Amino acid sequence: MVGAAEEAQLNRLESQVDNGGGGVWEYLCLVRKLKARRSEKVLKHGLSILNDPKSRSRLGGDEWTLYEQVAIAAMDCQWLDVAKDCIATLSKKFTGSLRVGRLEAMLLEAKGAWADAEKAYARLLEDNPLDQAMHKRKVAMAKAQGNISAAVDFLNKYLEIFMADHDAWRELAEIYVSLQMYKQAAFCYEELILSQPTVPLYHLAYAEVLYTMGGLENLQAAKKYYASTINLTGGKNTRALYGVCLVRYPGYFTHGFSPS
Amino acid sequence: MAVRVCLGFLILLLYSNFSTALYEDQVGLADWHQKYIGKVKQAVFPTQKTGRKRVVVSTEENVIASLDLRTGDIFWRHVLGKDDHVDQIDIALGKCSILRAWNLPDGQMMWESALYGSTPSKSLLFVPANINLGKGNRILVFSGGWLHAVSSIDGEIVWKKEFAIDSLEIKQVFQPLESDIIYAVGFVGSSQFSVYQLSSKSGEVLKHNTASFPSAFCGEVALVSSDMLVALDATRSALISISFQSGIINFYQTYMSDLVQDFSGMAALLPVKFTGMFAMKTVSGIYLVRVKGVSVLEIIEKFNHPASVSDSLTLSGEQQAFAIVQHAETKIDFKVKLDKDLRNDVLKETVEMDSQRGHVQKVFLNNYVRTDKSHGFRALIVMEDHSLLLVQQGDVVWSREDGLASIIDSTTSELPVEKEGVSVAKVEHNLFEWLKAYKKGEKGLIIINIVKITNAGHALKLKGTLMLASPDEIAAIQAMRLKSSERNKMTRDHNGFRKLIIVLTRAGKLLALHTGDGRIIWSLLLSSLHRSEACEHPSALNVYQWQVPHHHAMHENPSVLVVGRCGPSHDALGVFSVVDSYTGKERNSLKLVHSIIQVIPLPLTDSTEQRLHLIIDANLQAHLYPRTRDSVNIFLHEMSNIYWHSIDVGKGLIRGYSLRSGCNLDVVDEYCFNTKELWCIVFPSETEKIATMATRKMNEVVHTQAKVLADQDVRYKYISKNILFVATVAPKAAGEIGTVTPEEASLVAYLIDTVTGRILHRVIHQGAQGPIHAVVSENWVVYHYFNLRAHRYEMSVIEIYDQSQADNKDVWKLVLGKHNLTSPVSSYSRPEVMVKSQSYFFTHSVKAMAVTATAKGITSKQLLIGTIGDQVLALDKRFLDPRRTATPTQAEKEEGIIPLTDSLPIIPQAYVTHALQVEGLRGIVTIPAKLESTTLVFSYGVDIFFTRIAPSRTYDSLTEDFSYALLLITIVALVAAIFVTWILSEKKELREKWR
Repeated sequence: MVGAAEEAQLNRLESQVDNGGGGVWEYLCLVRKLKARRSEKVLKHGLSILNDPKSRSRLGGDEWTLYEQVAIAAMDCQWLDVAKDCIATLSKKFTGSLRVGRLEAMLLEAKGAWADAEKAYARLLEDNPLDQAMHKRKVAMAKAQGNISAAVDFLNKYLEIFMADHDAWRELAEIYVSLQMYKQAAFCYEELILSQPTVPLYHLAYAEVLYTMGGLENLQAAKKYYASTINLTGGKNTRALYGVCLVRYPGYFTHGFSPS
Repeated sequence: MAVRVCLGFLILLLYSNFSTALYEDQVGLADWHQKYIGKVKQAVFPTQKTGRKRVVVSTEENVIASLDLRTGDIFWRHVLGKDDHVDQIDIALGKCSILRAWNLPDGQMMWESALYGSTPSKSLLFVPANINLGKGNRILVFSGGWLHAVSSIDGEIVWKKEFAIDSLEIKQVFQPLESDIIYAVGFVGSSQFSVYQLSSKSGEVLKHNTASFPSAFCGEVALVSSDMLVALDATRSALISISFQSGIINFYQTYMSDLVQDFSGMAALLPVKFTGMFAMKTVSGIYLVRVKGVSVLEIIEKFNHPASVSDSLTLSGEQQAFAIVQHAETKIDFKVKLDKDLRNDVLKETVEMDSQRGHVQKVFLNNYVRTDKSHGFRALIVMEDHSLLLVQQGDVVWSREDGLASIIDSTTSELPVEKEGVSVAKVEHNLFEWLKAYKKGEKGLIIINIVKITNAGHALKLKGTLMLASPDEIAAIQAMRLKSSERNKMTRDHNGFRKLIIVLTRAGKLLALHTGDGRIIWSLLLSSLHRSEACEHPSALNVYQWQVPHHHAMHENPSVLVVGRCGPSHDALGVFSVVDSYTGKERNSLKLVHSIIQVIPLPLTDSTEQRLHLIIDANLQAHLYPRTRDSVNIFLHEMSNIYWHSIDVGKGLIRGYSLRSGCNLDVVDEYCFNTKELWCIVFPSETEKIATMATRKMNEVVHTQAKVLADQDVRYKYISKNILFVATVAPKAAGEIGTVTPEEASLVAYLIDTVTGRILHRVIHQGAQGPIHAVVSENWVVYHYFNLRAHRYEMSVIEIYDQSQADNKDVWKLVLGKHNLTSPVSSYSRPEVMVKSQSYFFTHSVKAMAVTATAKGITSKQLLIGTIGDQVLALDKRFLDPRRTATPTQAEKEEGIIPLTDSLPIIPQAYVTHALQVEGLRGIVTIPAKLESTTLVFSYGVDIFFTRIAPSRTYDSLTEDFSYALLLITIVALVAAIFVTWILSEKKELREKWR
């Protein structure tokens, strides 16, 4: 999630960098920090640093982070040669590193060699079965291939190990919603609310899943969660207000006004 | 058990707190010790094989010493008591009523025998020339009216014979060679001459002849041969030859005017031993007179003043040699003559002599056999400034500055500031010249050595600190520390350790000693204290700081004032001399027209920072110096606030005076002031006699008047510069210890305000007597006396507090500086005082006592006690605190109060002089250094000793042997380690990230 202020700063830095005003490294750091997806800019400016040995050596230990960042950006932009070069540099520096291994697997992914990539991931997971990123990549790969059920499987497996990862729970909930498996989705949202009870979005999403499922009890529960969302946001969430209205008068908007 | 453990712990705590002991390797770093013997009276050159390279001397400081003839170093030395004057020494040595013999090589005493005489008289000693200890010869001693024959082996008295009858005064005792008869000649009354012949075996009188001479004798006698004497008559204008061969006494009178042309005044016989000759001294010079027969006297040679003649010396044959030393400006002529051939000189040498040594006073001749079997001569010369020189082959082989054995007063002077190039150069130049005169070119060698040492030094020092050095290297480090050039620099240092100690000796010589190593920077024999027509018997009295420039007149060198008088009596005219303390040149000298009774340095300075001095003369008139208009103006402004007091010990009176302008002189003198008696304290003469008095030092600094006690109470010290401590004893008990019973003895201690004459406190110690030593500092007095009842020495302390400030009692007000101390303190007001006192036993008798002085007076004080063993003991003032109780409360313990014990502890480590002895200790002087924690201590007697002590340890500086190199290396190593670990951690972190 990127806050408005950070977004503004990022944009300001981006325009500054584009106009040659310096601060490239700050920009790249900010991008990395905010996990923003501006691959083209990152590739362009990152390469400008990497091609200049002087400014590259000035980075010290962060040089390798930049290589990684540029490699990922290059993969995103399908500049596979650049990504390959970067990864080759890294694997030369850190032989046998898992992190480089993951990058190599990602390169395979980017090439579309799904089987090879899967094999690579499986090999890496053998060495280190508790690597979250690797698991996540597998889910992402399955999702990218359109193999949603596999993705659900992988995610479930992942969540059995890392139960506190709420992003994974949310991803799973969203996949379930897309698959119209509301009951499962509701379970996921319950987990999320349990782990982060102050985030109104989960309350809202849960309420909506409940509302979608229908039934008196669910509606009652949905009303409560809409209400709690309003409570948490201080009445500023329009969607929650609308949801309360929906729950109060079920079928009002779909079936016309009924006096009951 | 618990109590014992507790006590043990307490003692441990005490000892750990007060020990100021040195480590072995710190000896000589801050202190120096110089051994002297004093002005040589007599010298004897042993002829035995082992003693040939030595000379035995006796001195006016009652020292008997054996010196190395090659270097002048002391082989052994005995300092006899103050009243044990050495009368005469010979190969066996003797003294007044006790005869002692010492072993020559090591100075161990072989025997001592007491001789009892009934009447006091001059003692004579005669040792037969052929004495050989193996043969059991006898030493003849005439003492107290008795003639004793003493065995030379064990000191046993073989026989004795009384001569005290008929007011007989024996003048000479002698035994001709190879004869059994002892001659004793003397005068009965003033005109009868008497000769006794005694048997050397039994002391029986064999023959006794008496003859009377028409006119009187003056008493001086010179033995010319074994049967002839020369005497002076009572008017000292005629010589009488007396021959007493075979019992017949003949007189023959020769008038001096016949013998010497234009004779005037008086003649004196010189106490030198010649055969067939004698020496006499008149106003015009010294005459050598040959006696050819009873009636024939012939002048052989005349020497103009100043000259000196030595005793005759028997050479291998029957020849006798003697030496004459004559002074010629900066040189001395040294001549040796044989008695057979008086016209020619065997040896004639001219020796360059430092003009600051004055005239030659005594010569002792010695011979040695050269490789070609001829005779060589060397002479010990005693100079006017008491220094001792060995002259051989026209050169001064060595010299000893023995005037320093008789220091009478001292003061200090700062060295020049480093940046002032001119004056430093001047002093260095001075030093260089001095060195050149004494060492001749050795300086270059020394400098080269120092440079070499400093290069290798740092590495060695570091090794020492890291405990890697071998024993040899440790010794090298030690030598290096001792030679450290830092402390011997001729400039002022930051800590104020380097100063000049300016000492005045009895000979009237002023010497400046460097506190770093005690070397003499300059010396000056004061010309104003030189014997002259107008000033017959000059004696130096005191030395004062005359000019200490620190704010104004910075370009001027500091100077000291030397005060002396022209004669032994109090009304003799004064002599006044100002000496530059950097260069040692006499700036100004005055012969005063009045006498000097008392010199009062005033706390006032004129525009050139010359201190004003008041000199009180015998007519109780005050004379102001320096004699400038400026000083008079300053003085007149302050005159109404100046008071002084005089103490008449004989009459038991203390008088206080103020000053008035105008003087009862015939001439108008605006620098002369009259005095007016203000008050007088009369001690009852039948019960009290003034024994000692003490005042506070003028330059003492007191940090704070308030003393905060453990219970948050504040006491105000009574700090007045005008406090005078006087101790009186019962007149009966004024003598030696043991002469009176405790009932008869009493000691009264007074504290007196010298402005108003008010007796602030009076305390009686029954059964106590002197000698009393006292020291006054801040608001307390410590005095030492003998308690007859307890048969022990005691020390008492009196502390005096001001009660009028009692309302300023709030500690917090004091801490915040809000207490009301702005009310003026006046000596006219009568403040209520409170006194606390306490007494303790003390094991030692005391020779001198002083108290440490620091720059700001913050550091706690220590008493410096010169013990009977000639050492200086530092005793913490905390032991002499009247608030000590047997069981102090916890709060009092925290304050540092020591539980009361009946005697003061003597901690062996607290000896300031550590293993050394300051023989004949007479005075201890403390000088504050610039560093607050440190006091410089200078003690003098026959020896001189200087050190610096820190009564509360050096809390404000690093020790001198602190290794800066080690500190630097540690810092560098730490920084390097930080860098290395930082890089390593960076790498590790990166590897962690990319695992």
